[in-house]
Amino acid sequence: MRRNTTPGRISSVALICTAGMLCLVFAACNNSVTGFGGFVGNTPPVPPSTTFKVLGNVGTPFTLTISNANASWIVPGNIPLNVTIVNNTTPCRMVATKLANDNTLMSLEIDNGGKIITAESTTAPFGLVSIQTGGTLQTIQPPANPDLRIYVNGPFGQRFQGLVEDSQVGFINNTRAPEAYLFDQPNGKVDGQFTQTQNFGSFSINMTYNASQGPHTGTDVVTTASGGPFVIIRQP
Amino acid sequence: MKKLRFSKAALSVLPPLVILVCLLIGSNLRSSRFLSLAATTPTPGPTSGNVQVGFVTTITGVPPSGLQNVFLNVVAVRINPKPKPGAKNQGIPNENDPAWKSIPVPAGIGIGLNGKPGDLQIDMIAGQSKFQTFNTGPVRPNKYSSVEVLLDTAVPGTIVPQCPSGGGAIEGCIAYPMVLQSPGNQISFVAPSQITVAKNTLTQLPLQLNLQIVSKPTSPGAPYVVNVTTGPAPGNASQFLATVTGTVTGASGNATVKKIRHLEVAAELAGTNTIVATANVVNGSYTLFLPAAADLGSLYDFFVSGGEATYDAARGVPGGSGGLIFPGQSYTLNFAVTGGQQVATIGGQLTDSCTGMPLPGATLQMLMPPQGSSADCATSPADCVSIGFTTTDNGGKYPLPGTFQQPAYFNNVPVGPTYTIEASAPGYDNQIFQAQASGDNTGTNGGICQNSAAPPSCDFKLTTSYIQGTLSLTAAPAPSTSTTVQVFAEQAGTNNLVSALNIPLLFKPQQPTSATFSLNVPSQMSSFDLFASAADLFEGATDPYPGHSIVVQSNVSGPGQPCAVATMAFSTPMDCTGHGSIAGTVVNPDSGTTVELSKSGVKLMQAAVGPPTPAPSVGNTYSFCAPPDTYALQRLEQGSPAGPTVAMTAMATPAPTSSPCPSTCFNSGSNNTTCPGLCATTIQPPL
Repeated sequence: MRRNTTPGRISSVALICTAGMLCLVFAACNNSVTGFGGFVGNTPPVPPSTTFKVLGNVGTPFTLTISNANASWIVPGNIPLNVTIVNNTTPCRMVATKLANDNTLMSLEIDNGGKIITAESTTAPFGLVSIQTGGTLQTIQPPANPDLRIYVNGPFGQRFQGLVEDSQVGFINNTRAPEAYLFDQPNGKVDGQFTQTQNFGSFSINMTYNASQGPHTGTDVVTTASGGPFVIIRQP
Repeated sequence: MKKLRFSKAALSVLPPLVILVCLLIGSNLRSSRFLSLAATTPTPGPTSGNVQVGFVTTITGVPPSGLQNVFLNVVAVRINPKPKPGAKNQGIPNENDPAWKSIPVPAGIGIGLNGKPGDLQIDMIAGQSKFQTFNTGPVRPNKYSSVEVLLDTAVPGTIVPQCPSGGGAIEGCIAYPMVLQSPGNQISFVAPSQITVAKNTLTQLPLQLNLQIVSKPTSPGAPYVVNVTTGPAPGNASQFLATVTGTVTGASGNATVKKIRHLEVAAELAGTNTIVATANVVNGSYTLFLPAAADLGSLYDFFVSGGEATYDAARGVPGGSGGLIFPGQSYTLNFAVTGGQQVATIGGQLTDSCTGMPLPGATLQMLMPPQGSSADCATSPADCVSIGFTTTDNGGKYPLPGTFQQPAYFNNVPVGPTYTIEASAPGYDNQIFQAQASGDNTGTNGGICQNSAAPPSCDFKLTTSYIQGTLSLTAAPAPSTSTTVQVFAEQAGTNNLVSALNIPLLFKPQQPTSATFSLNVPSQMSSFDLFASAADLFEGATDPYPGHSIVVQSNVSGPGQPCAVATMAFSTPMDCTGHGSIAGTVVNPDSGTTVELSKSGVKLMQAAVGPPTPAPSVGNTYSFCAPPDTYALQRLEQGSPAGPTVAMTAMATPAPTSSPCPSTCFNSGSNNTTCPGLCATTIQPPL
């Protein structure tokens, strides 16, 4: 009969509620173990995000121009680097020049929702590689303005879930560092939330912003963030 | 009763808790699996068995024209202990058999999502003449019978054929997709003798990949249909690999302390920081298996780092001919270090001395004289061994962060000694500075440098100068298209490429056909050869080779001092010529033979000479995809000219056509009836 006492009912109900909440949490967090294009809050679902990857011999320098239907970005860096355009509009095209006078490998891959769409490689000194997706982008678009980027520089190989959002839309992806997010036409201030799904070390993240005309190379750091396993970086 | 009720209620919590535990365990398993692969190169785990996979390749069934590039997208190699010897079923285990152990693409070369690696594009043409290391993966000690190569089923690879030599129906020098004739078939075999993987040992698994071309495409965008099979490499690993083994005295390995690298020995291509393989030091000894050229041998630099120990370095191996290693041979190379060091950071920021802007993508390396050498690395960096390198992030800061298990080299530097650091970036003068480690062993703040712009970090400004120039096209791109052009600079008279534009030139329809550029070049070089190459589209798809001519300008004077500007102009415009290819043979080549293509004295590109397509028996062919033009060819032996420079015979030029149009570019702007037709190969006399 104690079964029907108030404390007993409370404890049972509490545990059942906890169980239900855990189930809901896992259902909601199911995204953390899959590659997907998701949605945040009340924003509508979006297609799986497209990621461009520059891979090959680690440390090889390159410069790349990436353009979608709206804007273009210049991204200098070193292999490896993942590049994601947030709020993307296809088609997209990427032209990369390897900046090493040797026969090391530079490979460009386009990945959509975790599936590789296309890949091209070069081993030539200062080799030039171009790939595109989502149709034919006939011309490289003008430089992004404003040019807002978030670089997750490390730890090297760290797998994480990233949520990058402005005042209206949010994009989630599951990727590895180093990663560069290029925000196409942000509306209002941008923030990024990053959750490690492994523990390789502390995040090293910075945000760059430039609202002047002309091409930029993402070196105008306006704020940085570090730590882990969960880090938020907000546009000042 | 209370206990019972509580237990019943608790039962409802169990399922999610079980899921939680599974997820956490799964996550950790994935983490630990990745940790072992987080290094930039194969790094065997210290306690598991390890398998090093590599490929040699063959191509058969090639259509009449040759092949310029063949890339196969490999995702992983798997091994399975089944079938056991004597078992009734001696077939390959099915795809979902839980006993498969995977050796994925190394991190950094292919970074995948959801625990899946990316693709590693295996060069099937280069693989005919050399052993290509795939990766080293930790595997549970066991005896394994089955081997499977996993390809990217969605994008198995690409093929770029040369232009048809006697006329043909399809365009050459463009990329065609590849599809598998039987995509559901496993690419696997049962090993004739079991592969034994033992604890703390490195087992070789050399594989042969065979690509059979079943049919060729009939139009751009259509696929090559291929069959891919695999088997044991002919002979054994000793046919391709040399063994370097030895001891490291004075320190013990350190695998368990976070933020400290395990004591390891690394082998890198001599004179570079390109690491080919690393081996953990276990019980004071190590073993490396290194690819080696059978005819000329191969030269490697070696260095010991990690384990809170000092460094040691060597160039080549003792007892070898000039330090060279040859396949099938074993060499002994011992090192001595001092353990128990305090480690700290050499970090800071690199900026442009003219603009003050951060320098992303710059490279820094620590240099050390090899054993037996008294070289001054500050004045003779080429005589020294790179014992660690890092790069700058997008804010110019270094080092880039590593991981707990594989911290950045520059975060694990023993405190006390003074190190020689070389900083470099394309278009900038190399800068050498002396540094000591200080501070924490994480982050970018640390280091004691005499001339640092912002002590205590080692901040430096790299000097540069500028060449401003103009470049033009013969005609503006057609409506709805554009042409992207990259400009390169190399040290005059050499093939030493030193710079390229950060922002390629963009030509658009109905806009000027001439554009200006500003190219960073090192201020300490007096003159440069410049050339420009286009990144075109072919019928809307990206084109691996240009359809515009490559324009050159030799012996352009540099500004000669930092931040100064020199001017130049390309004397000829870039013309829309379409594709072209060049093929030929070389008499008695060896593994050091290459052929160089130049135009008006400006060196443009080199091609390896090796097992050819389509006839594997010839073994002395080379080929280029280059737009029709007037070129010269030079045979090189280990980088040095051998024989005279030979003027090429005239190249075949694609006839103008109106179908298909648009192709790669246009001869006369908006007139879409004058695009180049199908390309052709020009055969050259033997060199």
